[in-house]
Amino acid sequence: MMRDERDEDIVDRCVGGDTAAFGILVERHERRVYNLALRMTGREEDARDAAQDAFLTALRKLSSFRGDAAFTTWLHRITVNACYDLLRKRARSPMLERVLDDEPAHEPPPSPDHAAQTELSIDVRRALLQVPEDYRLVMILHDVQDLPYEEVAAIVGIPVGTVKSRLHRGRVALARAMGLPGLRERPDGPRPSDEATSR
Amino acid sequence: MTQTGHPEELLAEYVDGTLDEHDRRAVEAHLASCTTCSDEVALAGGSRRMLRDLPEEPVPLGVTGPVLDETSRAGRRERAPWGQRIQWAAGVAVAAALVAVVAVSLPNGNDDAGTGGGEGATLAEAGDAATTPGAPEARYATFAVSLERSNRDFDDKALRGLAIEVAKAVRGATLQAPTEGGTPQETREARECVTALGAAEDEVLVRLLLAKYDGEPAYVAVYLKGPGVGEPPSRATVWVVSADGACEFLDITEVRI
Repeated sequence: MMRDERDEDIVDRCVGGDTAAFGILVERHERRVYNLALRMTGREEDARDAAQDAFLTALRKLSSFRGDAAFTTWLHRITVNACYDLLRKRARSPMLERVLDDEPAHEPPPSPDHAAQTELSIDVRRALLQVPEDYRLVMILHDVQDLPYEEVAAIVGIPVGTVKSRLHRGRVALARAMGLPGLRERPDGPRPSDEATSR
Repeated sequence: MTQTGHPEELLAEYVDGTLDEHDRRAVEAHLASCTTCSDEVALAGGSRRMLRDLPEEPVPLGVTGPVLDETSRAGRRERAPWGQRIQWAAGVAVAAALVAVVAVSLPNGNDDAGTGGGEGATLAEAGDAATTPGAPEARYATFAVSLERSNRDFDDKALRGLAIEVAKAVRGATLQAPTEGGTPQETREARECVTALGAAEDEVLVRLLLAKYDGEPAYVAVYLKGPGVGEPPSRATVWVVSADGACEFLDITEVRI
């Protein structure tokens, strides 16, 4: 099988009976799907469940996928739904809700060379969870996963203008959750630590 | 400008550096006189940089294994043994309960309002028909709609009007599936087209129109969405995709019920 085969063509093969070809799609997209779920839910175990649920849903619904739509957009949308399902379930089940400070979300392996970066990314991840879900989602898709506004709009199911306004509000909310001061119009002006923070 | 008077949509693009010259100058002129926005732009820029620097985490072992197992099983059988996965049972039960709640909240309506006709399956009937208790299919249960042909040429405002119309019908329990319209084949094609991007599992399709959007043929699909178990649908969402065969995403709007 060709490595550069289009996702949409692989879907056709799966629908045609070659279900094992779905493994190629999983391999191609698992990092993005898992990382989207991890940033949205903030917990590794939830991200595992959501990613698994997303792929199984995609497999189940594959025949309803139309090759004219981008597979990545479709899969992202399914993943987003899986994340929201999980977050809703968690909100309804206080027993499942744990304080993040008690249980760090997902600690990456220690890396002495990048200790500062690791510390910062943990802070960012925790702060992300304080941002309303709808804003958080748009930021993850656009700023973390580098998807264009139009694709974010199609994934989330909101107008492009709403994507942009949520993006802006989310970014401001995240900065405030991180305790970042505004860099302008502050009596003490920009601080060196801010530069270090933003690298 | 937004209703707050601050150009939030432009500010996001300003921070991204994707504005054209004209808009960029307009934003800079605004920033020069608005400390709120200039402060927010600084904050947003800091967030953007941090988010872009977030490392991608490796996928832990065991996440996709069950998926791959499923593909090999699906290859051996016509259907995968969905009901055997305990971790899915809860999700299925939630979806089944949601369909049941939608059914309860939308009893057979009177014929004085809504889409008229009176012979269409109500959402309650469709929900019952589509739901086998405990079956995973409940997750994907949909209202038995047929394609309606419309001469309307929709725009943003008209879409919102349609969403409000459906929301009112839901509130008044008068929502019914139209009985006149396309053939089952046409309905199926339209449905496949509008779900090309994958409607959420808890969204129920209640209206499906072949109309126009900005002068071009388009499918207009209205979905109801509920907040979860024990509550009636809370939102009506209207999707628009092109009906020229490409099923391209054109627009969407949403109203609260």
